[in-house]
Amino acid sequence: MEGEEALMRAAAADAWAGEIPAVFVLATNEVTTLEPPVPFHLCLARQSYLPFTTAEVVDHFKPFAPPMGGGEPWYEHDGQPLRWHVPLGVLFDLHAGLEAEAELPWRLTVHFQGFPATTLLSTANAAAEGWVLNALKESCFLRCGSALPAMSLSIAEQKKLTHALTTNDFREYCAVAERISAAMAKSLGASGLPHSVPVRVFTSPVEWRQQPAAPRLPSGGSTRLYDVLVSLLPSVFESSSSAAPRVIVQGVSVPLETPLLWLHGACSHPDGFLYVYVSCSPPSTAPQIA
Amino acid sequence: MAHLSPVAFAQLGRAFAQRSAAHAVSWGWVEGESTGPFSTPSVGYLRSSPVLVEEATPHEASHEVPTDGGDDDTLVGGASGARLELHIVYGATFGVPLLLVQGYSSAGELWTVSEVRSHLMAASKEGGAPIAADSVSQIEHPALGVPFASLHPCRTAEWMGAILQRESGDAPQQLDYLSAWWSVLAQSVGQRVAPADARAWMLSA
Repeated sequence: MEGEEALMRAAAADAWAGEIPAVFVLATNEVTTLEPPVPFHLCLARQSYLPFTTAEVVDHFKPFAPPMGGGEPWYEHDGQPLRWHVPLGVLFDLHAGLEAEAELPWRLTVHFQGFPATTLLSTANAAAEGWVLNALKESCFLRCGSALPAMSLSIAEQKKLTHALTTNDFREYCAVAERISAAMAKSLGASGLPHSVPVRVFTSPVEWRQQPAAPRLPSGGSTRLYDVLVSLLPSVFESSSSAAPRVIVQGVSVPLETPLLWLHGACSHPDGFLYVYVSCSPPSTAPQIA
Repeated sequence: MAHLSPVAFAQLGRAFAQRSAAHAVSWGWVEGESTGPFSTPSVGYLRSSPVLVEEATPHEASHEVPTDGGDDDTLVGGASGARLELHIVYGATFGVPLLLVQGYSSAGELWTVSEVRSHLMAASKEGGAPIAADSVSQIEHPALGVPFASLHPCRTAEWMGAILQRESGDAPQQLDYLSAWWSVLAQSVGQRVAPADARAWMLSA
Protein backbone atom coordinates (compact mmCIF):
# COMPACT_ATOMS: atom_id res chain seq x y z
CA MET A 1 0.00 0.00 0.00
CA GLU A 2 2.80 2.41 0.91
CA GLY A 3 4.40 1.74 -2.43
CA GLU A 4 1.15 2.55 -4.21
CA GLU A 5 0.81 5.76 -2.22
CA ALA A 6 4.32 6.80 -3.14
CA LEU A 7 3.67 5.96 -6.77
CA MET A 8 0.47 8.01 -6.68
CA ARG A 9 2.28 11.02 -5.24
CA ALA A 10 5.02 10.69 -7.85
CA ALA A 11 2.40 10.52 -10.60
CA ALA A 12 0.69 13.62 -9.23
CA ALA A 13 4.02 15.49 -9.30
CA ASP A 14 4.56 14.29 -12.88
CA ALA A 15 1.09 15.48 -13.85
CA TRP A 16 1.95 18.91 -12.48
CA ALA A 17 5.21 18.94 -14.40
CA GLY A 18 3.36 18.29 -17.66
CA GLU A 19 3.59 21.15 -20.14
CA ILE A 20 2.47 21.70 -23.72
CA PRO A 21 4.69 23.64 -26.09
CA ALA A 22 2.47 26.20 -27.80
CA VAL A 23 2.88 29.00 -30.31
CA PHE A 24 0.48 31.93 -30.37
CA VAL A 25 -0.18 34.05 -33.45
CA LEU A 26 -2.38 37.12 -33.77
CA ALA A 27 -5.46 36.63 -35.98
CA THR A 28 -4.45 37.99 -39.39
CA ASN A 29 -7.54 40.18 -39.70
CA GLU A 30 -6.67 41.85 -36.40
CA VAL A 31 -3.11 42.91 -37.29
CA THR A 32 -3.10 46.71 -37.37
CA THR A 33 0.59 47.23 -38.17
CA LEU A 34 2.46 47.01 -41.49
CA GLU A 35 4.49 44.05 -40.25
CA PRO A 36 2.72 41.33 -38.31
CA PRO A 37 4.06 40.58 -34.84
CA VAL A 38 6.37 37.61 -34.40
CA PRO A 39 4.66 34.53 -32.95
CA PHE A 40 4.92 34.01 -29.20
CA HIS A 41 6.17 30.66 -27.91
CA LEU A 42 5.17 29.45 -24.47
CA CYS A 43 5.01 26.19 -22.52
CA LEU A 44 1.50 25.84 -21.12
CA ALA A 45 1.04 23.99 -17.83
CA ARG A 46 -1.33 21.06 -18.25
CA GLN A 47 -2.87 21.67 -14.81
CA SER A 48 -3.61 25.34 -15.39
CA TYR A 49 -6.14 27.34 -17.41
CA LEU A 50 -5.69 29.80 -20.29
CA PRO A 51 -6.49 32.98 -18.30
CA PHE A 52 -3.82 32.15 -15.69
CA THR A 53 -1.04 31.58 -18.18
CA THR A 54 -1.52 34.04 -21.02
CA ALA A 55 -0.80 37.49 -19.53
CA GLU A 56 2.52 37.59 -21.41
CA VAL A 57 0.81 36.62 -24.64
CA VAL A 58 -1.66 39.49 -24.32
CA ASP A 59 1.16 41.94 -23.53
CA HIS A 60 3.13 40.72 -26.54
CA PHE A 61 0.34 41.20 -29.08
CA LYS A 62 -1.43 44.25 -27.64
CA PRO A 63 0.69 46.84 -29.51
CA PHE A 64 -0.16 45.18 -32.83
CA ALA A 65 -3.87 44.60 -32.26
CA PRO A 66 -6.90 46.86 -32.45
CA PRO A 67 -8.21 48.25 -29.16
CA MET A 68 -10.32 45.74 -27.27
CA GLY A 69 -12.97 48.37 -26.45
CA GLY A 70 -14.05 46.76 -23.19
CA GLY A 71 -13.85 43.28 -24.70
CA GLU A 72 -11.49 40.53 -23.68
CA PRO A 73 -8.94 38.35 -25.45
CA TRP A 74 -9.83 34.85 -26.53
CA TYR A 75 -8.11 31.95 -28.26
CA GLU A 76 -8.93 29.45 -30.94
CA HIS A 77 -7.39 26.33 -32.41
CA ASP A 78 -8.20 25.33 -35.95
CA GLY A 79 -11.23 27.61 -36.07
CA GLN A 80 -12.69 26.41 -32.76
CA PRO A 81 -12.88 28.85 -29.82
CA LEU A 82 -11.14 27.36 -26.78
CA ARG A 83 -13.30 27.04 -23.69
CA TRP A 84 -10.91 28.41 -21.09
CA HIS A 85 -12.80 26.88 -18.16
CA VAL A 86 -11.56 23.43 -19.19
CA PRO A 87 -8.02 22.70 -17.86
CA LEU A 88 -5.34 23.30 -20.48
CA GLY A 89 -4.12 19.73 -20.66
CA VAL A 90 -7.66 18.49 -21.26
CA LEU A 91 -8.22 21.18 -23.90
CA PHE A 92 -5.09 20.05 -25.70
CA ASP A 93 -6.10 16.37 -25.59
CA LEU A 94 -9.57 17.23 -26.89
CA HIS A 95 -8.40 19.47 -29.72
CA ALA A 96 -5.00 18.09 -30.68
CA GLY A 97 -5.02 14.46 -29.52
CA LEU A 98 -2.20 12.50 -27.92
CA GLU A 99 0.96 14.58 -27.55
CA ALA A 100 3.06 11.93 -29.30
CA GLU A 101 0.88 12.23 -32.41
CA ALA A 102 -0.09 15.89 -32.29
CA GLU A 103 1.52 18.60 -34.33
CA LEU A 104 3.72 20.56 -31.95
CA PRO A 105 3.99 23.30 -30.94
CA TRP A 106 0.24 23.63 -30.47
CA ARG A 107 -0.77 26.47 -32.75
CA LEU A 108 -3.22 28.90 -31.16
CA THR A 109 -4.69 32.07 -32.61
CA VAL A 110 -5.18 35.11 -30.39
CA HIS A 111 -8.17 37.42 -30.84
CA PHE A 112 -8.71 40.82 -29.26
CA GLN A 113 -12.06 41.49 -30.89
CA GLY A 114 -15.32 39.67 -31.50
CA PHE A 115 -15.42 37.79 -28.19
CA PRO A 116 -17.92 34.94 -28.83
CA ALA A 117 -20.12 35.63 -25.80
CA THR A 118 -22.65 33.00 -26.82
CA THR A 119 -19.95 30.31 -26.75
CA LEU A 120 -17.33 31.24 -24.16
CA LEU A 121 -17.68 32.21 -20.53
CA SER A 122 -16.44 35.70 -19.76
CA THR A 123 -13.08 35.97 -18.02
CA ALA A 124 -13.78 39.47 -16.68
CA ASN A 125 -13.71 40.24 -12.95
CA ALA A 126 -11.37 37.42 -12.00
CA ALA A 127 -13.94 34.93 -13.29
CA ALA A 128 -11.27 32.26 -13.75
CA GLU A 129 -10.32 32.38 -10.05
CA GLY A 130 -14.02 32.17 -9.16
CA TRP A 131 -14.53 29.30 -11.59
CA VAL A 132 -11.76 27.18 -10.08
CA LEU A 133 -12.95 27.87 -6.55
CA ASN A 134 -16.56 26.97 -7.41
CA ALA A 135 -15.45 23.75 -9.12
CA LEU A 136 -13.36 22.95 -6.05
CA LYS A 137 -16.45 23.43 -3.86
CA GLU A 138 -18.34 21.01 -6.10
CA SER A 139 -15.66 18.35 -5.99
CA CYS A 140 -15.38 18.72 -2.20
CA PHE A 141 -19.13 18.25 -1.92
CA LEU A 142 -19.00 15.11 -4.05
CA ARG A 143 -16.12 13.69 -2.03
CA CYS A 144 -17.24 14.44 1.52
CA GLY A 145 -20.82 15.72 1.32
CA SER A 146 -19.90 19.29 2.14
CA ALA A 147 -18.40 22.23 0.24
CA LEU A 148 -17.02 23.67 3.48
CA PRO A 149 -13.42 22.46 3.06
CA ALA A 150 -13.16 24.68 -0.04
CA MET A 151 -15.42 27.44 1.25
CA SER A 152 -13.34 27.85 4.37
CA LEU A 153 -10.14 28.63 2.48
CA SER A 154 -8.86 32.03 3.57
CA ILE A 155 -8.33 34.82 1.03
CA ALA A 156 -4.58 34.24 1.39
CA GLU A 157 -5.02 30.53 0.61
CA GLN A 158 -7.21 31.32 -2.38
CA LYS A 159 -4.50 33.66 -3.66
CA LYS A 160 -1.93 30.95 -3.10
CA LEU A 161 -3.98 28.58 -5.26
CA THR A 162 -4.22 31.20 -8.01
CA HIS A 163 -0.48 31.81 -7.78
CA ALA A 164 0.24 28.08 -7.98
CA LEU A 165 -1.83 27.88 -11.17
CA THR A 166 -0.13 30.95 -12.62
CA THR A 167 3.39 29.75 -11.89
CA ASN A 168 2.75 25.99 -12.10
CA ASP A 169 4.08 25.58 -8.57
CA PHE A 170 3.25 22.08 -7.30
CA ARG A 171 4.55 22.72 -3.79
CA GLU A 172 2.40 25.80 -3.35
CA TYR A 173 -0.62 23.89 -4.64
CA CYS A 174 0.09 21.02 -2.23
CA ALA A 175 0.03 23.40 0.73
CA VAL A 176 -3.55 24.42 -0.18
CA ALA A 177 -4.60 20.89 -1.17
CA GLU A 178 -3.39 19.49 2.15
CA ARG A 179 -5.46 22.04 4.03
CA ILE A 180 -8.54 20.93 2.06
CA SER A 181 -7.71 17.24 2.53
CA ALA A 182 -7.36 17.71 6.28
CA ALA A 183 -10.78 19.41 6.47
CA MET A 184 -12.32 16.63 4.37
CA ALA A 185 -10.73 13.91 6.48
CA LYS A 186 -12.59 15.29 9.52
CA SER A 187 -15.96 14.75 7.85
CA LEU A 188 -15.02 11.39 6.35
CA GLY A 189 -14.12 9.73 9.62
CA ALA A 190 -11.77 6.83 10.22
CA SER A 191 -12.07 5.11 6.84
CA GLY A 192 -11.15 8.26 4.95
CA LEU A 193 -12.97 6.80 1.98
CA PRO A 194 -14.72 9.53 -0.05
CA HIS A 195 -18.45 9.31 -0.72
CA SER A 196 -17.72 9.49 -4.42
CA VAL A 197 -14.90 10.20 -6.84
CA PRO A 198 -15.57 13.34 -8.93
CA VAL A 199 -15.13 12.46 -12.60
CA ARG A 200 -15.86 14.37 -15.81
CA VAL A 201 -15.89 12.36 -19.02
CA PHE A 202 -15.52 14.07 -22.41
CA THR A 203 -16.15 12.51 -25.81
CA SER A 204 -15.53 15.73 -27.76
CA PRO A 205 -14.69 19.37 -26.94
CA VAL A 206 -18.38 20.07 -26.30
CA GLU A 207 -19.84 16.73 -25.19
CA TRP A 208 -19.28 15.69 -21.62
CA ARG A 209 -20.92 14.29 -18.51
CA GLN A 210 -20.13 14.57 -14.83
CA GLN A 211 -20.21 11.12 -13.32
CA PRO A 212 -19.35 10.84 -9.64
CA ALA A 213 -18.69 7.20 -8.79
CA ALA A 214 -18.49 5.31 -5.51
CA PRO A 215 -14.88 4.29 -4.80
CA ARG A 216 -15.97 0.72 -4.00
CA LEU A 217 -18.21 -1.62 -5.93
CA PRO A 218 -21.16 -3.29 -4.14
CA SER A 219 -19.04 -6.47 -4.21
CA GLY A 220 -16.42 -4.69 -2.09
CA GLY A 221 -13.76 -4.42 -4.79
CA SER A 222 -12.26 -1.16 -5.97
CA THR A 223 -14.17 0.69 -8.67
CA ARG A 224 -12.14 0.67 -11.89
CA LEU A 225 -12.08 3.29 -14.59
CA TYR A 226 -13.89 0.76 -16.77
CA ASP A 227 -16.84 0.58 -14.35
CA VAL A 228 -17.50 4.31 -14.73
CA LEU A 229 -17.06 4.37 -18.47
CA VAL A 230 -19.20 1.33 -19.21
CA SER A 231 -22.13 2.82 -17.29
CA LEU A 232 -21.84 6.11 -19.17
CA LEU A 233 -20.91 4.78 -22.59
CA PRO A 234 -22.19 1.19 -22.88
CA SER A 235 -22.40 1.41 -26.67
CA VAL A 236 -18.69 2.15 -26.76
CA PHE A 237 -17.37 -0.21 -24.08
CA GLU A 238 -19.69 -3.19 -24.39
CA SER A 239 -19.84 -3.42 -28.14
CA SER A 240 -17.40 -5.83 -29.71
CA SER A 241 -18.02 -4.45 -33.19
CA SER A 242 -16.91 -0.86 -32.65
CA ALA A 243 -13.23 0.07 -32.79
CA ALA A 244 -11.43 0.11 -29.44
CA PRO A 245 -11.78 3.57 -27.93
CA ARG A 246 -8.80 5.40 -26.56
CA VAL A 247 -9.10 6.53 -22.98
CA ILE A 248 -6.87 9.48 -22.22
CA VAL A 249 -6.08 11.01 -18.85
CA GLN A 250 -3.46 13.75 -18.55
CA GLY A 251 -2.42 13.10 -22.14
CA VAL A 252 -1.72 9.41 -21.54
CA SER A 253 -3.63 6.31 -22.66
CA VAL A 254 -4.79 4.70 -19.41
CA PRO A 255 -5.52 1.01 -18.76
CA LEU A 256 -9.22 0.53 -18.07
CA GLU A 257 -8.43 -1.67 -15.06
CA THR A 258 -6.86 1.26 -13.18
CA PRO A 259 -8.56 1.75 -9.78
CA LEU A 260 -10.56 4.97 -10.00
CA LEU A 261 -9.60 6.28 -6.57
CA TRP A 262 -5.90 5.82 -7.29
CA LEU A 263 -6.27 7.50 -10.68
CA HIS A 264 -8.04 10.45 -9.07
CA GLY A 265 -5.27 10.84 -6.49
CA ALA A 266 -2.60 10.72 -9.18
CA CYS A 267 -4.17 12.59 -12.06
CA SER A 268 -6.98 14.86 -10.86
CA HIS A 269 -6.83 18.54 -11.67
CA PRO A 270 -6.58 21.40 -9.16
CA ASP A 271 -10.38 21.78 -9.19
CA GLY A 272 -10.61 18.29 -7.66
CA PHE A 273 -12.07 16.58 -10.74
CA LEU A 274 -10.58 13.72 -12.72
CA TYR A 275 -10.93 14.49 -16.44
CA VAL A 276 -11.17 11.55 -18.82
CA TYR A 277 -11.29 11.89 -22.60
CA VAL A 278 -12.78 8.95 -24.49
CA SER A 279 -11.82 9.16 -28.13
CA CYS A 280 -14.31 6.98 -30.01
CA SER A 281 -12.71 7.32 -33.43
CA PRO A 282 -9.05 6.42 -33.01
CA PRO A 283 -6.62 6.65 -35.90
CA SER A 284 -5.48 3.38 -37.46
CA THR A 285 -2.26 3.47 -35.45
CA ALA A 286 -4.10 3.46 -32.11
CA PRO A 287 -2.14 1.72 -29.38
CA GLN A 288 -3.82 -1.25 -27.71
CA ILE A 289 -5.57 -0.59 -24.44
CA ALA A 290 -4.96 -3.20 -21.79
CA MET B 1 -30.52 18.74 3.78
CA ALA B 2 -32.93 18.14 0.91
CA HIS B 3 -31.77 16.87 -2.45
CA LEU B 4 -33.54 15.89 -5.66
CA SER B 5 -32.72 13.10 -8.05
CA PRO B 6 -32.64 13.90 -11.79
CA VAL B 7 -35.79 11.78 -12.25
CA ALA B 8 -37.67 13.60 -9.48
CA PHE B 9 -36.55 16.95 -10.91
CA ALA B 10 -37.92 16.01 -14.34
CA GLN B 11 -41.24 14.84 -12.88
CA LEU B 12 -41.64 17.99 -10.79
CA GLY B 13 -40.50 20.15 -13.73
CA ARG B 14 -43.20 18.82 -16.06
CA ALA B 15 -45.89 19.37 -13.43
CA PHE B 16 -44.51 22.82 -12.62
CA ALA B 17 -44.75 23.81 -16.30
CA GLN B 18 -48.37 22.65 -16.50
CA ARG B 19 -49.42 24.55 -13.41
CA SER B 20 -47.68 27.74 -14.53
CA ALA B 21 -49.81 28.21 -17.65
CA ALA B 22 -52.10 30.75 -15.99
CA HIS B 23 -49.32 32.69 -14.29
CA ALA B 24 -47.61 35.88 -15.40
CA VAL B 25 -44.39 34.03 -16.01
CA SER B 26 -45.25 30.72 -17.56
CA TRP B 27 -42.82 27.89 -17.96
CA GLY B 28 -42.23 25.28 -20.60
CA TRP B 29 -40.51 21.96 -19.97
CA VAL B 30 -37.75 21.12 -22.44
CA GLU B 31 -36.90 17.43 -22.57
CA GLY B 32 -33.25 16.46 -22.32
CA GLU B 33 -31.52 15.30 -25.47
CA SER B 34 -29.04 12.57 -26.19
CA THR B 35 -25.66 13.94 -27.17
CA GLY B 36 -22.76 11.97 -28.54
CA PRO B 37 -22.44 8.32 -27.50
CA PHE B 38 -23.64 8.85 -23.90
CA SER B 39 -26.28 6.33 -22.86
CA THR B 40 -28.50 8.74 -20.98
CA PRO B 41 -29.82 12.03 -22.34
CA SER B 42 -29.05 15.25 -20.49
CA VAL B 43 -31.62 16.18 -17.82
CA GLY B 44 -34.43 18.37 -19.17
CA TYR B 45 -35.02 21.91 -17.94
CA LEU B 46 -37.66 24.60 -17.50
CA ARG B 47 -37.65 27.68 -19.71
CA SER B 48 -39.68 30.78 -18.83
CA SER B 49 -41.75 32.99 -21.07
CA PRO B 50 -39.86 36.28 -21.68
CA VAL B 51 -39.76 38.57 -18.64
CA LEU B 52 -39.83 42.22 -19.69
CA VAL B 53 -37.44 44.40 -17.71
CA GLU B 54 -35.80 47.81 -17.91
CA GLU B 55 -32.82 48.23 -20.18
CA ALA B 56 -29.39 47.94 -18.61
CA THR B 57 -27.66 51.31 -18.36
CA PRO B 58 -24.42 52.04 -20.25
CA HIS B 59 -22.71 51.97 -16.84
CA GLU B 60 -23.59 48.33 -16.55
CA ALA B 61 -22.04 47.53 -19.85
CA SER B 62 -18.65 47.85 -18.20
CA HIS B 63 -17.23 44.70 -16.69
CA GLU B 64 -17.12 46.04 -13.15
CA VAL B 65 -18.76 44.29 -10.25
CA PRO B 66 -20.98 46.90 -8.58
CA THR B 67 -19.92 47.89 -5.12
CA ASP B 68 -22.18 48.07 -2.09
CA GLY B 69 -24.65 50.89 -2.35
CA GLY B 70 -23.97 51.38 -6.01
CA ASP B 71 -26.82 49.31 -7.25
CA ASP B 72 -29.64 51.81 -6.77
CA ASP B 73 -28.87 53.60 -9.99
CA THR B 74 -28.03 50.62 -12.13
CA LEU B 75 -31.40 50.55 -13.87
CA VAL B 76 -33.01 53.42 -15.65
CA GLY B 77 -36.67 54.06 -15.99
CA GLY B 78 -36.55 54.23 -19.76
CA ALA B 79 -38.82 52.38 -22.10
CA SER B 80 -38.79 48.70 -21.29
CA GLY B 81 -38.04 46.30 -24.08
CA ALA B 82 -35.18 44.38 -22.60
CA ARG B 83 -36.07 40.90 -21.51
CA LEU B 84 -34.85 38.16 -19.26
CA GLU B 85 -34.91 34.49 -20.08
CA LEU B 86 -35.01 32.27 -17.02
CA HIS B 87 -34.09 28.63 -17.00
CA ILE B 88 -34.39 26.18 -14.11
CA VAL B 89 -31.94 23.36 -14.62
CA TYR B 90 -30.82 20.40 -12.55
CA GLY B 91 -27.65 21.07 -10.57
CA ALA B 92 -26.05 17.63 -10.74
CA THR B 93 -23.40 18.21 -8.08
CA PHE B 94 -25.60 19.44 -5.26
CA GLY B 95 -28.76 17.65 -6.46
CA VAL B 96 -30.84 20.83 -6.36
CA PRO B 97 -32.59 23.10 -8.88
CA LEU B 98 -30.42 25.85 -10.31
CA LEU B 99 -31.68 29.22 -11.56
CA LEU B 100 -29.98 30.42 -14.74
CA VAL B 101 -30.57 33.88 -16.18
CA GLN B 102 -29.84 35.45 -19.54
CA GLY B 103 -30.67 39.06 -20.43
CA TYR B 104 -31.19 40.66 -23.83
CA SER B 105 -31.46 44.34 -24.76
CA SER B 106 -34.41 45.56 -26.82
CA ALA B 107 -32.11 45.28 -29.84
CA GLY B 108 -31.59 41.62 -29.03
CA GLU B 109 -28.02 42.02 -27.78
CA LEU B 110 -26.87 39.68 -25.05
CA TRP B 111 -26.32 41.25 -21.62
CA THR B 112 -22.91 40.78 -20.09
CA VAL B 113 -22.73 38.83 -16.84
CA SER B 114 -22.10 42.17 -15.07
CA GLU B 115 -25.36 43.51 -16.47
CA VAL B 116 -27.25 40.43 -15.33
CA ARG B 117 -25.58 40.64 -11.91
CA SER B 118 -26.52 44.31 -11.53
CA HIS B 119 -30.08 43.59 -12.52
CA LEU B 120 -30.43 40.71 -10.08
CA MET B 121 -28.89 42.70 -7.24
CA ALA B 122 -31.36 45.55 -7.81
CA ALA B 123 -34.36 43.25 -8.34
CA SER B 124 -33.60 41.12 -5.30
CA LYS B 125 -33.12 44.20 -3.15
CA GLU B 126 -36.52 45.46 -4.23
CA GLY B 127 -37.96 42.04 -3.53
CA GLY B 128 -36.68 42.21 0.05
CA ALA B 129 -34.12 39.44 -0.26
CA PRO B 130 -30.94 41.10 -1.54
CA ILE B 131 -28.29 38.88 -3.02
CA ALA B 132 -24.55 39.48 -2.88
CA ALA B 133 -22.51 40.30 -6.00
CA ASP B 134 -20.43 37.17 -5.60
CA SER B 135 -23.47 34.90 -5.60
CA VAL B 136 -23.89 35.43 -9.35
CA SER B 137 -21.43 34.00 -11.84
CA GLN B 138 -21.43 32.50 -15.30
CA ILE B 139 -21.63 28.77 -15.85
CA GLU B 140 -22.12 26.50 -18.82
CA HIS B 141 -25.79 25.58 -19.29
CA PRO B 142 -25.81 21.82 -18.54
CA ALA B 143 -28.11 20.99 -21.47
CA LEU B 144 -27.30 23.72 -24.01
CA GLY B 145 -23.58 24.14 -23.31
CA VAL B 146 -23.76 27.94 -23.63
CA PRO B 147 -22.94 30.59 -21.00
CA PHE B 148 -25.67 31.64 -18.57
CA ALA B 149 -25.51 33.67 -15.37
CA SER B 150 -26.25 31.47 -12.39
CA LEU B 151 -27.26 32.00 -8.78
CA HIS B 152 -24.96 29.87 -6.65
CA PRO B 153 -26.74 26.82 -5.26
CA CYS B 154 -24.28 25.94 -2.46
CA ARG B 155 -26.75 26.25 0.42
CA THR B 156 -29.98 25.40 -1.40
CA ALA B 157 -30.25 21.89 0.05
CA GLU B 158 -29.82 23.38 3.54
CA TRP B 159 -32.59 25.99 3.37
CA MET B 160 -34.88 23.73 1.37
CA GLY B 161 -34.44 21.15 4.12
CA ALA B 162 -35.57 23.76 6.65
CA ILE B 163 -38.65 24.66 4.58
CA LEU B 164 -39.67 21.07 3.99
CA GLN B 165 -39.17 20.15 7.64
CA ARG B 166 -41.27 23.11 8.81
CA GLU B 167 -44.06 22.22 6.41
CA SER B 168 -44.00 18.50 7.02
CA GLY B 169 -46.59 18.70 9.82
CA ASP B 170 -49.13 20.03 7.36
CA ALA B 171 -48.71 17.91 4.29
CA PRO B 172 -45.87 15.49 4.54
CA GLN B 173 -46.47 13.85 1.20
CA GLN B 174 -47.76 16.76 -0.82
CA LEU B 175 -45.21 19.53 -0.61
CA ASP B 176 -43.79 20.27 -4.05
CA TYR B 177 -40.06 20.82 -3.76
CA LEU B 178 -39.74 22.80 -6.99
CA SER B 179 -42.63 25.15 -6.26
CA ALA B 180 -41.42 25.78 -2.74
CA TRP B 181 -37.96 26.53 -4.12
CA TRP B 182 -39.34 28.92 -6.75
CA SER B 183 -41.45 30.78 -4.20
CA VAL B 184 -38.17 31.76 -2.55
CA LEU B 185 -35.99 32.30 -5.62
CA ALA B 186 -38.60 34.30 -7.57
CA GLN B 187 -37.76 37.39 -5.51
CA SER B 188 -34.20 37.34 -6.80
CA VAL B 189 -35.42 38.03 -10.32
CA GLY B 190 -38.07 40.56 -9.39
CA GLN B 191 -40.97 38.10 -9.52
CA ARG B 192 -43.48 37.74 -6.75
CA VAL B 193 -45.37 34.62 -5.91
CA ALA B 194 -48.43 35.56 -3.86
CA PRO B 195 -48.53 33.61 -0.58
CA ALA B 196 -51.83 32.00 -1.54
CA ASP B 197 -50.43 30.99 -4.91
CA ALA B 198 -47.27 29.68 -3.34
CA ARG B 199 -49.25 27.59 -0.88
CA ALA B 200 -51.55 26.28 -3.60
CA TRP B 201 -48.61 25.50 -5.87
CA MET B 202 -46.66 23.79 -3.18
CA LEU B 203 -49.52 21.61 -2.08
CA SER B 204 -50.95 20.80 -5.47
CA ALA B 205 -48.41 18.21 -6.48
